[in-house]
Amino acid sequence: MAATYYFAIVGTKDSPLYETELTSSSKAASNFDTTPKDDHRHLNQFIIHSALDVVEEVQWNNQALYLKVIDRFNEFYVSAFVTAGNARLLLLHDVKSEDSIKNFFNEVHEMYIKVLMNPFYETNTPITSQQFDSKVKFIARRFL
Amino acid sequence: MELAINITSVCRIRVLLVPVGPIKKSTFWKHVELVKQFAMVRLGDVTPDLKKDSTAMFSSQVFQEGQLHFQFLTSYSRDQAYLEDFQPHRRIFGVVGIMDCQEWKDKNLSEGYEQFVKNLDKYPTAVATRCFAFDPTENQPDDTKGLIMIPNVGNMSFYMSTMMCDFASELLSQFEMIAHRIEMLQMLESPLQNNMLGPPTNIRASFPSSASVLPQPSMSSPDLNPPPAANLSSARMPSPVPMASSSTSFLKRSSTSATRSATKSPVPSEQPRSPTMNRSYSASNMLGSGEITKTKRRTPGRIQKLLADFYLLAGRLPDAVSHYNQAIEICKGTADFLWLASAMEGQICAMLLLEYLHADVGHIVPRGQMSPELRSESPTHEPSEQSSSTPSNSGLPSSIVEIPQKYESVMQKYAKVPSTSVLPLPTLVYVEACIKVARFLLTVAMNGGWNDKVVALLVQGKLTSGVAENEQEGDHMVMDPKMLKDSGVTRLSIAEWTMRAAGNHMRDIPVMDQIIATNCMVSLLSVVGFQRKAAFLMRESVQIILPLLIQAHTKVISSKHEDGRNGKHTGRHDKGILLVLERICDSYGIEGPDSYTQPSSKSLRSKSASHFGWPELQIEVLRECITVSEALPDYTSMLRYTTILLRKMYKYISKDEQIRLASTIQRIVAAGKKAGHVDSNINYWGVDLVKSIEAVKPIARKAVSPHSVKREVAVTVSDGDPFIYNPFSNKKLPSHRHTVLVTNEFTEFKVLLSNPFGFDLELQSISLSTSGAAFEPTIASTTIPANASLTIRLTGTPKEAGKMIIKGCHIKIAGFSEQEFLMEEAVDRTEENTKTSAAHGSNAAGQSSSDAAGSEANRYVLEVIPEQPLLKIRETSLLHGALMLFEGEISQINIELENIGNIPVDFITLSFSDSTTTNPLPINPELPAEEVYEVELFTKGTPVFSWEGSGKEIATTSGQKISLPPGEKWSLHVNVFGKRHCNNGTIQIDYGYIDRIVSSETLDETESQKQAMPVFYTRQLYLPLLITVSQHLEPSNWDILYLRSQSNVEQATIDESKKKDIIALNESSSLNPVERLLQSVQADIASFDFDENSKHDYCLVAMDVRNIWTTPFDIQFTIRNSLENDPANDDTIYFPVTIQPGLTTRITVPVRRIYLSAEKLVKPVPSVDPSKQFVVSQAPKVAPEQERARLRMFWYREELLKRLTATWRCSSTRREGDLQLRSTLRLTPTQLSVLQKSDIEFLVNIEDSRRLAHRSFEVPSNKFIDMTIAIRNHRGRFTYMKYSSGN
Repeated sequence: MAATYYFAIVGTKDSPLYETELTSSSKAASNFDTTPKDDHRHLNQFIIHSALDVVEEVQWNNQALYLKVIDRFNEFYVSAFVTAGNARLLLLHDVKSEDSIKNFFNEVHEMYIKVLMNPFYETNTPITSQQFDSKVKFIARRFL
Repeated sequence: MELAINITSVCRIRVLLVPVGPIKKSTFWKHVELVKQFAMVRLGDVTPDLKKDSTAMFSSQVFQEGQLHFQFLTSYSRDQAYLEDFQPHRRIFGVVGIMDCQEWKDKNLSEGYEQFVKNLDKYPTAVATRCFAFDPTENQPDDTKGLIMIPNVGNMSFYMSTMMCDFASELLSQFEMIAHRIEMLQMLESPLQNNMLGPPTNIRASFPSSASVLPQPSMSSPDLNPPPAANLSSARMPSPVPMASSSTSFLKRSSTSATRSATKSPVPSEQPRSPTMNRSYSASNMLGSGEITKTKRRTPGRIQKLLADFYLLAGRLPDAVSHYNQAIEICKGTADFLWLASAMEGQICAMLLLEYLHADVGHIVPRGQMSPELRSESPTHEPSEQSSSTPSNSGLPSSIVEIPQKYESVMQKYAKVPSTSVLPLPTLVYVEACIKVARFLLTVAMNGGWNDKVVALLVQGKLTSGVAENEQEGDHMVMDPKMLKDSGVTRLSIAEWTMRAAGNHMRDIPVMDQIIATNCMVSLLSVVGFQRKAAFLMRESVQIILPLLIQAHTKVISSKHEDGRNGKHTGRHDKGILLVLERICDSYGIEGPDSYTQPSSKSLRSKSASHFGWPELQIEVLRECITVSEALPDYTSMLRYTTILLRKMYKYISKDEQIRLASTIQRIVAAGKKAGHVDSNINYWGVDLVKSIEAVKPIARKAVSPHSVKREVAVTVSDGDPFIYNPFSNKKLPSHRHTVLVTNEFTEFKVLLSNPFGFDLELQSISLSTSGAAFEPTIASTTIPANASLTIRLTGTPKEAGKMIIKGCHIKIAGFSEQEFLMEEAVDRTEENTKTSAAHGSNAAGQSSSDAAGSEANRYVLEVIPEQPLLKIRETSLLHGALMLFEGEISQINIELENIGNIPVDFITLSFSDSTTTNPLPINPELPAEEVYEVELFTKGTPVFSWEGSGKEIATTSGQKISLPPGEKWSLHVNVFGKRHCNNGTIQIDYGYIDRIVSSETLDETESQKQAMPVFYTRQLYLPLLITVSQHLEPSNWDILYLRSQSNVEQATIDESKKKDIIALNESSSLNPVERLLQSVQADIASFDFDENSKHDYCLVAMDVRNIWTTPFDIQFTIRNSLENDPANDDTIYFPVTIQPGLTTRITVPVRRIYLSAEKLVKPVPSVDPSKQFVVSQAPKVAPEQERARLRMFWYREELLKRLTATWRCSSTRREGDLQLRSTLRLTPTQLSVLQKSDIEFLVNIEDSRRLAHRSFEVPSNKFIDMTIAIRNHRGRFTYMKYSSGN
């Protein structure tokens, strides 16, 4: 079974700035039917949302931005990355691979900073840039 | 059924308290609380079994410091029955009946006891029973055997404790029996969850819970026939050998009851029990022979573990520890991980209790037959396999680390279970273990580290030492951060342990236990502040509950004719689940119920300010909330969540769903009203539909303008400003004028509505909502299209004077009740600020400056003034509002006014404006002063309109007091002057009723000085006029000529001509009128008043006057030769002339030469506009002589124009007016020299001579005559003259 990922950037007010469903690079083309996925997606979001509590706890005990796996639910792991502006990059995954996730987070963080530098982007608002989306997907293909 | 969620749960003996009916609910609970006080019994106090004290296995005298811990339950279900053989603490060992003697006054108590005994069959595992009868009366005999009367007198607690000790003693002896039976077992099987076999659907799983025995006091349960104990015990017997079931079971009740129940025949129709039965068979079928041998091999370890459990229950801690150690050893050997882990759990509990006792007693004094091994074990009591463990002394903080570590290994053991055993791990045990550790850590954390107090609390199973707190309310506890820091426990570790319990495996345990476990986790998480995690689990638990709710609901519906108890019952639970929903919503950032009940704009805004959350999740949660409240069904909350979903989340919801939701709301309201749940006066819409409200400026006729009494009454076109540009001068621009409403007059408001939803909003009624002065709004209706905004005009009538605040609109949306929508803040704030800066409201300024006050400032405050009169121009003398004038003509127009208002007019004033003044010609400052004077004189100095009411002062207007009661008419007359280039004009009539001076109450004391000045209001009427000014006569070709009779005209010829002239005059007008005029002047020229030293010099002023009109005009020139207004010496000459149409006539008029004094000539050119800004001339400086010449020219021209005027008359049209000479008169220096008298005059006179003409005298010949020559010097200085006589 292909590893599935769910990636979300959560703003300071718990609202998602960006979210995407990622499939692993090995099976990039796989497009399983959407109906069960829809149900699944909300579960992912709920898991991510509940993991925010842990993020907030862990981030004060950790110097690094990358907090590694901070939470798990059933077979899912939640890896977190906190930016300086307290936006939280959260990845839900079912395969443990710390290094590649770290690389993924670092790259996405760079992208996020570029978005922030856009004078027309207001912090804590959803990122609608198409380019950001495609870049994130590209990074995901590279590292995950 | 309670779960074993405390770390010390293992040591508790479960005792069920059952009511023996009839008993009141409150009484029952009162007694339950009483009994619960005796939850702990010291072994030393337990009544020793005298018969076999020393030999008894669980003798209380061996370890007197030990304690028995009872856990009193009031409800019991068989969900966990399969675990009872594995973990004895889950068993109900004792049943205590509670009877209220007051209810049995007239009956025999023994009946009650019998009832109790009968019911005992339901609890087959109970080995000791008691029945307490409380509050017996005097006459009730205490003769029923087994029934213990507890009198409500004397030392009741002592009596109770004695009873409990007695009870404990019985339990201990029963333990022995059970233990003996266990020891004899050949095979002990691991527990198997019953629902593992069937399909684990929720419905199936919920059956046992529905069959749970709730000892509700009022619920007598004859319908639930207790199954025969023997049958049951065999059914739940975990024995692999079916026929050995009855013999090997240690679950049997004490022999007496067992035999009694054995006499009963089994009831075959006991359906709910069948799954258990099935399990027993299938399980035995499932086990292969290899498995059986394995089980047999493992049995000794298991027996040891069970014995240890019983020792623990019996409070014999040293024995328990030693047995646990043995059990651990053996189980490890046989790789029996489930039992091993369970034994370790028991061991941890035993160690904790030892630590507790140590703290309690001081130090354990082993005595009697305490085994020597215990002595070595007791202080260190380490399981040898715990490699990482260090010898720990009791009471050291390391326990905090140690216990979770041990549990970690317990978890590992549990994890190994599936690999080593056919039978899967009972999930409940695993979940409980997780929660146990979490609670343990939490207890430590909440009490600031490891200390005796914490141990005591752990033993009692409480989180805090506070007043007995219900564990379900744990979430209300607040964690002290300092305590947390001191304790060395991190919140994260607590949460992690809690979350270990969560997951898919939860689905394996029975539904009721799932709910309890989830709630337990929720409270743990919320205590540590992990609200989002708590909400996540809460949501899960709601999802678990939901099917039950639907089931219960359908059951209620199906048995509606049943008594209301069922409904009431669910009602009680509904409240709880609704509270849970609210908390979930809170955690997900969905607005709480507070803002719902009072959706004032303020609270909505503050909510939106602190808006947070994940919209998609919020929608999801809200949908779930709706589903749950639909299942209940609770219309109020259903409505609430639907409206929240609609109004908060409409941005994220598709149009179709919005429409669906909106229609759902109506449906809910309808259904709710039918059920009587929903109050019809609920606000459904939180979105601000009303974006802005603005008073429409009234039409000019009705507009009122304020005046303060002290200031100039009426303001004409602003010409009082000395500056060309004044930044402060435009204060009175109408756009900034405060809108003032008038009492009893219809007012219009422009309301901007917006509809953010994806469907049309039909507003059945919409009207303004105001506060302050009374206002009578008119109701309108409209439809706002989807996703659009709409501007409508709302009207209303203010009913009294004062300050009126416009708050918003009352809107009734089709299908809903009326609701008040307040104005949106942001739009209003700016508006209000401009308003505050404008004239009024220091009031509002103060408010908006203190922005925090907010709500006041964002109101739209309007002033309502008392009733004002209203006038109408009834008729005018104008035709089509237009007027044709000849240049210089003065005409009069009549205006008739009518009072159509309700109150009289007592003040009226007129002001005028015309096209030449409103758009004056721009004055080029480069122009010479005299030309500027001309221009100014034209624009400012010659008003088009003048009013007779204002008297002589034409330019200024002032008010006039009149009295014009309602309904009356009044006419006024206005003069109009035909001014060139004027094409339109406006007559403005200001009127008001000022008898009643309005002191405006709106002003604050900060402007008290201003307030002292009363303000009155006037209204204006405007009469626009179209004016056509036609040029009919134009003078041109001005010339000034000498008129001097230098020639020596013979008197005779003159006489002759005179005679002729007279004849001509008489006969015909052959004589030129000019000549005639000259004639008349001639005499004056000749007349020579020597004494006065003056002579009358004349010059001829000639001009062409052309009639460019189509009718003849009579022109009369007036030459005022003496300006001294001396009636006696009236030198005025009138010169009439008629000019036919199209003709040009040369007019020649004699004008006396003018002499102006030197002082007068140096005066600068005056300015018509007194308040003109001085501009330094940019023109090059002219020489003083030149300047003087120009001034002279100016002044002589002015003088000439003063003397020479002309009026015209049109005989056919009866029009008359002034002929404008000024504009065409240009003097040349030569002409000027003719006009002005020379500086030095010579007056020659000869005495005694006859004067013939100018400087011609008749003197006798050859005779000396005296000739006097008078020299007149008009110059302002001396002139030296040289006289020389030349002959």
